[in-house]
Amino acid sequence: MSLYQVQKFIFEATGDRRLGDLFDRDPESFLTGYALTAREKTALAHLDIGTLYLMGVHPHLLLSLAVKGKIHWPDYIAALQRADEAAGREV
Amino acid sequence: MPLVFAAAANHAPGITGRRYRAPEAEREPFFAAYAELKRKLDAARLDALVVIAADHFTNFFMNNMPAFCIGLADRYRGPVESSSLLKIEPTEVPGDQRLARAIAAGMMQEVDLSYSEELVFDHGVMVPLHLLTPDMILPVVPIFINCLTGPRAPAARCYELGRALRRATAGLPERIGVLGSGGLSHWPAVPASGRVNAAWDEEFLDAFLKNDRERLVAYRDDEIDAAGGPGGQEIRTWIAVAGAMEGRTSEKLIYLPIPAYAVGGCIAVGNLEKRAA
Repeated sequence: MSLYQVQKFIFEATGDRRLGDLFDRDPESFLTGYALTAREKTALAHLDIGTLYLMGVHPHLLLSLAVKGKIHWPDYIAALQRADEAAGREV
Repeated sequence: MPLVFAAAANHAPGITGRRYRAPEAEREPFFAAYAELKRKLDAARLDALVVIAADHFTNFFMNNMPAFCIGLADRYRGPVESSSLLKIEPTEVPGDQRLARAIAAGMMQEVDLSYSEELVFDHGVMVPLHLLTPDMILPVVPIFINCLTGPRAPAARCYELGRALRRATAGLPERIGVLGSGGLSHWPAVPASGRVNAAWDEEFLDAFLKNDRERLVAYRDDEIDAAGGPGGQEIRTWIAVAGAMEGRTSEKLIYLPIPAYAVGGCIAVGNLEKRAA
């Protein structure tokens, strides 16, 4: 678990268009530049918003990733709600 | 000369991006209050506006997160968000490097600031500027307070930041105003988005309007998170404005929960000639 690295990846991939384009072209090799676990790489490569949310990614970063991935707001919120339910968390 | 204008307001992206999703009964008084604030700002005939705002991972990350950062550039770009989301077209906002350096040098006599000549603006700055200075000809000096992740500067330090701003500008010839941008309670980008804690907002607003320093500096991060949500941490921008007013009171132009904007619509303007009791 390396929440800092997960968040750093999102900050760079969403904030720097050139890095974001690199990620879009070849996500697997782009992710090798970060100290991530296999689970974290999979969640990022597949834009698994719910899993990233439960990992503790800051919501502002998470929403930026969703916007970059063209995940619309209702689907984004639904993913978080499903994650909360799966984790037994009250909203 | 002393600050000639002080105010604080929300900046939630829904204010411009989802303007017409709010019912007319909420939308009209809120935008009327913003228009009233614009009239007061125009009447102040400012040479520059200091905007104290919260960053949203637009400029800063946890690799080097400043508690306070002042912009020293001659121009800024914004917003970083797409125009389809924010309904604000990309534009250039004028800065004033010479004035910003003078303000920074004065403030650094009392507080530690980082500075940057590369800042870009997100909704935290662009939403209020879009509504208050739409022609983008008034030079802006941005000051960002870390409201995102802990450890953050405590409320008392934010109040001192404002005091330092007031002292730093007092000896300058320009007509300078200050605008705080952020808060109050809100839960951005989480399932609770749209929730507003009106009672907590009203309590904070009462302390702000009275410029009750003792109450303002008593706010703690865990209490803010629990009652005001993560977005509530942005009350730091208002607390800094209260510090900049050195005990002067403010007038509420509006407080009205607007769930469609995911925030309690709140705008206040300082009575710079009236001291708190």
